[in-house]
Formats: sequence, structure tokens, C-alpha cells
Amino acid sequence: MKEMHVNIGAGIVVCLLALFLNGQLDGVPIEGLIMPRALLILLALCGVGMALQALVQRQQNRLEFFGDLDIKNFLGVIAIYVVSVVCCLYVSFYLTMFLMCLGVTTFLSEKKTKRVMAVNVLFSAGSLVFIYLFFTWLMNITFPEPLFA
Amino acid sequence: MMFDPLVIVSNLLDPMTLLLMAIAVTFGIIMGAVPGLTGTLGLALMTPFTFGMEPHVALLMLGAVYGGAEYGGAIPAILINTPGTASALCTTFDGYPMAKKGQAQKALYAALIGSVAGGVFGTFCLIFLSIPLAALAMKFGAAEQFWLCIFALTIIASLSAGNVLKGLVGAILGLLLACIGMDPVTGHPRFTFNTLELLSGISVVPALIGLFAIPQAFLLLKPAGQTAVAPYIKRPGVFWQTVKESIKHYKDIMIGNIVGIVVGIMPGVGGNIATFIAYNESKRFSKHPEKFGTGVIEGVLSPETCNNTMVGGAQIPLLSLGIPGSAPAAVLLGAMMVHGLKPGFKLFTEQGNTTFTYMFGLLVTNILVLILGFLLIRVFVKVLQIPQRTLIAAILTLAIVGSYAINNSGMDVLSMGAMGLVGYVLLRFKFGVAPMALGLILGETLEEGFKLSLHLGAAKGNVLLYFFSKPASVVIIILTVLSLGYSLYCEYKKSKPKSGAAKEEPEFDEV
Repeated sequence: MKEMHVNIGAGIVVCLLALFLNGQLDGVPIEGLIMPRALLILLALCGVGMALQALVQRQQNRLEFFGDLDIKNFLGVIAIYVVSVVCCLYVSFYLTMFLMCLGVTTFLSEKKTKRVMAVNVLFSAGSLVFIYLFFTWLMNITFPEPLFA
Repeated sequence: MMFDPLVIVSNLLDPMTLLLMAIAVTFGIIMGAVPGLTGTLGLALMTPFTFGMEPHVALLMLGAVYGGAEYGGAIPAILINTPGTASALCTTFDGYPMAKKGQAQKALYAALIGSVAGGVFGTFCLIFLSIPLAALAMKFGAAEQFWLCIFALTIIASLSAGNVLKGLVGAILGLLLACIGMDPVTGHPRFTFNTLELLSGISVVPALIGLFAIPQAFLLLKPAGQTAVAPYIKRPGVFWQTVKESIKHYKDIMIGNIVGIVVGIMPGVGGNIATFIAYNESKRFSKHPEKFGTGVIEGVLSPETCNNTMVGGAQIPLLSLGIPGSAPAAVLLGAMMVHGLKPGFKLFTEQGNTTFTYMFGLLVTNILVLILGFLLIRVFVKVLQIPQRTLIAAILTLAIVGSYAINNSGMDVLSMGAMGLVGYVLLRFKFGVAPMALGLILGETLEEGFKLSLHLGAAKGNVLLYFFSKPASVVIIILTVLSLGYSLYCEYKKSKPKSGAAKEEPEFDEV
């Protein structure tokens, strides 16, 4: 995408966001209202400014969402990450962390030989042991385990 | 006396503290040495590990990561012609040619000596300059506090994102995030979308972990390329030979020191710009400028001294005014707040022992960088071969575990997760994450100063006069307008020459 189009789009999104967030301030007393409302006005002005600047300067540089990243790997890792963030809280923290580590390392391994898989499993298990020893055993932090509760 | 020397000495000589600092330095060097990982990421990931610790130990560990990472960036710059951190970009100009000539060991030692010289100078500047600056800040009232935050946000927004309006949008979004939750005065919920979870607001450190760590992990997902590692051949006596040569080139070290401290104090300017200036100045003052770029030791000494001097420099406004001079310093500020340390003059008086233990500890950090950099150089060279998949998995795991461990809160994990995705989008579309992070960090202080000024102004009969009439406020407002105006002018000038092919700036993906 051309930078001009990205900036115009971003300017519009920013203005809409400011409008939407403004609705969240209904009923807030004046003292708590001034600062966020001023910020929202500034945000909308910046959004308009960005769009106008893009139109005037007609920036031709290209901005790519994926850039030089491997798209398949990127989408795969994003999916694993999002699922892990949710599952670690509502399923099992330790199990999710193990599966996330294993999932990411396996998904990104070019060759899935037995040796590579063994290294991945060992790395994931080692990470889990480290988390347990440092956070749970040493720092007394209990992670959520709804599945095993 | 602001501190008890005996307490400082006993704090710094505690074997456990020294061991933890050594671990943190090693971790920092590794974070700097692996291309794609940064000191900011190292600090963000290390912060949750420090929660159970005494504040001075926590700060020392974070300072050690920061210092170690700045040196670590030179290792891949010299061996694979790829800077580990943005500020090590200039080191590639002469470091890699030196390595290709079979002088990798000498180049690495030169980087080490320059880094330590810079680190020590920066620390002394931090010790001697931050107290008078903090004493000056002591005289600041609510209005000055408000304007100071505005100044910091505008300067970082205009300098770090590369586009003033985009930087400002980032900073405002950060400030709005800081508004989420109950209003501290009226107790009324703001931007909570009628959910209980958001009533307590967004925790700063998990959000910083998300903003700095997650996009960095995603940026590592590039197709695997072939990296040619220059040969590292160990020879005896090279270290002392490099020390002697470095002493002979003391002018280049001094140039790095001066540029590093001046640029380091200025918020948001960034290490890569500073090292370019230092490199160019060294070249200008050199008797043989034509040799720069062919593999001369001065070309490594000057930028490496500069980027480590900036570690101390960036912390001068951080500790005295609460304004971080760089992205790692912003994360450090977030960590300080979690440990109950509020920057300003009271940090030097009420928590003098903690603060001065940290500042003098930075000297110890540099000694550790020297020792570990010398002893473990072979290990750090091996670090370049860690597979990307392992790094990505480790970053994601530590980010999730660390963000939960801060408050034992699931909401923190969710906000970290969301911030990570937002951070990636901001980075890809050139908004930068530093302005947003700083907005989030400074939001509370800014609103506090704003509300207090409103009350005090109302009590004195004129709110506007209270905001705009104090001499210090006027100076800060003028500086804000000047910096913003200058950035807009530069941007306008940059967009002007349309004839001919557009000159592409070198890009370096760093959060």
C-alpha cells in the first residue's frame, strides 16, 4: 500500500476512534472529563492533519503490513499467540505455555526430523521447568489452572 | 548527606547482588548480540523477574541489562555486518572490515573498551548532573510538572516516529490508555465499556511488555537467510595491545563521550543518530579520514563509546525529572514506578540509599561488562547461532508469564496480548511504539499536574495565568513550541524535493 493511502485511512480511523471514545465519557463529571475530552479533540485534529498531510504530500513510499516477513509463518505464530493468551487464563497456564512453546518451535522448524522434534520438546519442557522453579517455587506465584482445579 | 556510604558499599558488595548483576549483564549482552533483540526488549522481559527483589537490586539488574545490551550490539555488527541494536549501526562501518582482515578479536576488544569507557563517563555525568537538575525540578509546581510532561511527549513524538503527527497520535493514544479506569478524583469510570475488569485501569508494565516485546518477536519472522560470520581467531596479547591503542586514540573516546552525553540527555533523539554524529566527528578530526570505513580502530571506538555514554545520559532526565531519554529508559521508568520509586528530587533525598546504590552500581556494571565481555567472548559469538524459532518461543512465553506475574492478574495478560498486536500495527505503519509507551507512563503525572494546576489557578483567581505565567513554565512552553515547530519544519523540508528519485533512508526494524 502507498503511504498516502495508509495515512489517509489511519487519519479516518483515528477520527472515528475519537468519536467512538467520546461516547464513553457521557455522565463523567467535568473534573474528570476535561483531560480525556481534550485528548480526544487533539486526536481527531491529528487524524484530520494526517489525512490532509497525506493528500498534500502525496507520499509514494510503500508501507506493507507484512513487510519482508514470511506471511505463512507470521499468521501461524499470531494464531498460536492469540489462542495461547486466552487459553493460559481459561484452560491451563502450564499446559498452554508448553503447547505454545512446542507449537511455535515446531511450526517454525524447516525440517521436522525426529532430532529437531526432540530438541523442541526438550526446549518446551525446559521452559516449563524454569517457569515453575523461578515463578512458582521461588516467587510463590500461582498460575491459573481451571482445567486441573 | 543524601546517602550513607556504608550502606551503598555493603549493598554493592553483597555477593548475591553481584551474582544477579553478572547474570543481568550476560543477559543484556545476549539481548544486544542477537540481531532483532534489543535492550528495550531485554528490560521489558527482565522487569517481572525483579518484583520480589529489593528496589536497589531490581534497579541494578535492569541497569546491568541496559548497559550490557549496548555493548552486545557491537558483536554481530563486527562479526556478521549486522548491528545487534540500532545504535551499533556505525560499528559495522569499520568493525566488519577489521573482522574481514582477521582482526575480529581486536575489533571486539575495542568495542568492549569503548563501551566501558563510555559507560563509566556516562555514569559519572549521571551522578554529578542529575542532582542539580533534580534540585531545580524541586522548585517546579503543578503547572511546570504538566508542561514538562507535554514537552517530553512532544519531543519524543516528533523525533522518534519520524512523522510528527503520527508520533503525536501515538502519544495521545498512550495518554488515553492511561485515562482508562476510575478517575482518581471523582471516582467515575472512564473508557471502561461497562466492564469491571477495566475499572482499575491498564497496568503500565504488562502494556510495555506487550508494546516492546511482542512486535519484536513478530519482526523476527523473516525468511531464514545465510549470514556469513567473520572468522574469530583468538590470539594472546591482543587485549593489552588494544588497550594501548585505545589510549593512543583517547580523542575518539572523548568525542564519543561528549556526543553521547549531549544527545543522551535530549529525550527521544536516539542512539543511532548520536553514533552517526560521533563517527563523523571522529572522521573529521582524524589525520587520515580517508581510512575510515576500511577497518580502523577509531571507527569502532568512537560509536561504541558514544552509545554506552548514552546509557548514563538518558537516565539524567529520567531520574531527576521523570522524563526518559530513550525507549529503554522509558521501560526503566515503568519498572521504577512498580517498585515505588518516583523520579525527582525526593528520589535523591528520601530514597537516597537506593538511588545512589543504583548510580554507583552502574560503575560496577561497567566493570562486569569488561570482565564478562573479556571472559565470555566466545560464548557471545556462539549466541549468533541461536535459531530464531527458539528466540520467538522464548520471547512469547516470557512475555505472557511475566505479565501475569506482575499482579497475578489475567487482565494484565489480556492487555499485554492486545498491546502486542497494537504495537505491531503501529510499528508497521511507522507510528513507533515509544510515543505511546511514554504517553501511558506519563499519563497519570500529566493529569495530576493538570488537575492540581486547575485547582490552584482557581484558588488564585485565574487559571490561565497560573498555567502560563510562571517563568519555568514559559521556558518549557517555548522549548515545546520550538521543538515541535522545528520537527514540522524539517518534515516539510524533507517532503519538498520531489524531483528525481526519492532517496530511501536505511531502515532498521527496532521497537
